[in-house]
Amino acid sequence: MKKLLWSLSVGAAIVGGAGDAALAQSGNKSITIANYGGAWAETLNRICIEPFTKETGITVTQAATEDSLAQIRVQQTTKNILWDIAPTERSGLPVSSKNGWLEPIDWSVVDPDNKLPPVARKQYAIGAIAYSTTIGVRTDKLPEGKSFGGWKDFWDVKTFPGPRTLRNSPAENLEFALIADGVKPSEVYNVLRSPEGVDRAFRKLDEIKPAITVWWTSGQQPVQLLASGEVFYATAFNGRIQQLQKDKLPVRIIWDGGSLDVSYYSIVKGARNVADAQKFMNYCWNTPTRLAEIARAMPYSSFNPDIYKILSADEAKELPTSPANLDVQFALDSEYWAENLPRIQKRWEAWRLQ
Amino acid sequence: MSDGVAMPRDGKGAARGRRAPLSSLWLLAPAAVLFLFVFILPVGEVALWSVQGEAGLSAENYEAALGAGPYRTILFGTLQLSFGVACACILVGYPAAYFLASRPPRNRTLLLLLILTPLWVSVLVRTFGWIVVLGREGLVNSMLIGIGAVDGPLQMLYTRGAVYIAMVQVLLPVAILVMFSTMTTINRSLLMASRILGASPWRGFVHIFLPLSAGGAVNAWMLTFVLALGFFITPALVGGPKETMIANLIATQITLTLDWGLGSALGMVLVIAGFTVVGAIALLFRRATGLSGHGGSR
Repeated sequence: MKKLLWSLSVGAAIVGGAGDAALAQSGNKSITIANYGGAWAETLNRICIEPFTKETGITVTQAATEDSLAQIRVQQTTKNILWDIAPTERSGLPVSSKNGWLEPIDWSVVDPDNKLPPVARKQYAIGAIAYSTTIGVRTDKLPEGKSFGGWKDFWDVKTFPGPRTLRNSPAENLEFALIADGVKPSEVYNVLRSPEGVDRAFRKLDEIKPAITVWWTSGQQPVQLLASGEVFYATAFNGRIQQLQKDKLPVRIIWDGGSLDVSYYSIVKGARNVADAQKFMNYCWNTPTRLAEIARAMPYSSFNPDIYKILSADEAKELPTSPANLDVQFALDSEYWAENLPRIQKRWEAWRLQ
Repeated sequence: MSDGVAMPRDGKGAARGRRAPLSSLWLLAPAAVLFLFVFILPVGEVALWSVQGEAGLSAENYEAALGAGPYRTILFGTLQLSFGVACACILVGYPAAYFLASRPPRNRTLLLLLILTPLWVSVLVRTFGWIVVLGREGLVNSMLIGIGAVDGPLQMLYTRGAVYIAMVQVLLPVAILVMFSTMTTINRSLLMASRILGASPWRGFVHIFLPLSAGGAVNAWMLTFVLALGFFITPALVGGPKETMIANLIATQITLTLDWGLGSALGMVLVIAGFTVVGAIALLFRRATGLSGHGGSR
């Protein structure tokens, strides 16, 4: 979904232009949503923002961001609040909550029927959609008659030779390494909480390091690497692999051992229009019809279970939170990473340079 | 005879004689104000962040940045890479600039345009071009496999070599332009005079043209070196696992781990290291030649 560095400026231009046009035609009330640009911003615009403005008269402007956490921090320290709604994924939510940079969500507005599970119903954020970091496999590069199953096979460079790519980040990769080492997905954080567990993960990563030709940094990169045949196996966001499938590339997605992550949105402390921001959250991210439409446009799914009443079985099984896919993945623990990232990041840099 | 063609050594004296009168200093005021607000103040703030610890002033961020460990390795790697890239730009660019400067003026325009065109294409696009050229299924590999020179694809992308090629390509036009502008100011009749006095063309080049154009080459080196220090996208996209640049590391500290103190310290170290290297080169050059780095045009 995100961090599409090179499309950001284009996305910002499109979105920015649309925002200006909307501002010109309507009245005084407005909210600003910071977002990652690209296809996700366009989807939001079409399915949520345009009808919302038509129905309520409230203008919604999208602002492109790459690193919301750093920008939330800047806005709070300078007391110059530009955003009403900001994405707070990964360590963004725990860090901003702890520092008091967010407004609490009024759940009587955003989720009055109490449909959302706890993972999407946080004190300071709504879990808008879920996405998954999964393995993408070039099926035409697989050895004859072998079928690729998950992290054990990703690590098995004898049976499945070929270049691979992983994200340039300790988060997720330590978990993946432990699963490859035989830890159950549900157990990874219990193991990682001990120093020995972290050592074990790094030892396992040592094994795969020679097969990693590149550590990817932006979401589009692993997809391009797969498409160009630069690597045969890659981690990537599920929606992007599914996009390759739509483009008829011989790529398969492996849900087993995938890392399920939540795209959270929060209201920034001191935002100018908190009430309308809550209304928008309910309108866009907790109305089953619109959520189903979003899921059809992009294979990222909401936590509101009612969407499965609308979507067909075929549509549902492509989603990261469909019951079958949910069972084989683990949920990325952003609290763990908020607490441990600065320390482990340093070790990661050292390890990568060795 | 050979002393007769030694380069003029009057650079210092001439420069001293042209000190600007005080009354025209106000011309610098707009630039100084801009410089203060967009450079001095922000860098000052970053410097403050870098020394702020949990309780008051602290050097812990600098200890982390400069102590044994990954950050120091990356810092030296960045300096080394930038040094090499700047040298390569001079080695490749100098003959090109020489060629360009020795064309008659009306032919230069087209050649200059050819050199300038890549500058108008974004660094990102140029870097992507290299991905297409150097990839496993890219142009070079397809060609090599096609003519049977190799059995399987060579790993060219995601290596240090790929970073060198891409960075040199991005920075080369800058280096050529700087050297070219110095070379056009060199009085060619000096070369003619040396021929009349019996020197070979090579000797004339070594004793007259080379010293007079050295200032431009040093300037071009410093400029490309400083630009290379801040490179971010190119090493991230075509570099191998070990080609992390200090700029990528700073971005991680600012956006991911939110350790702005360490990020600021790394930034300050980079600025200081850059100034030190550039200052040292400028000083050495002045010592060695008695010229300032502004092109020996007289």
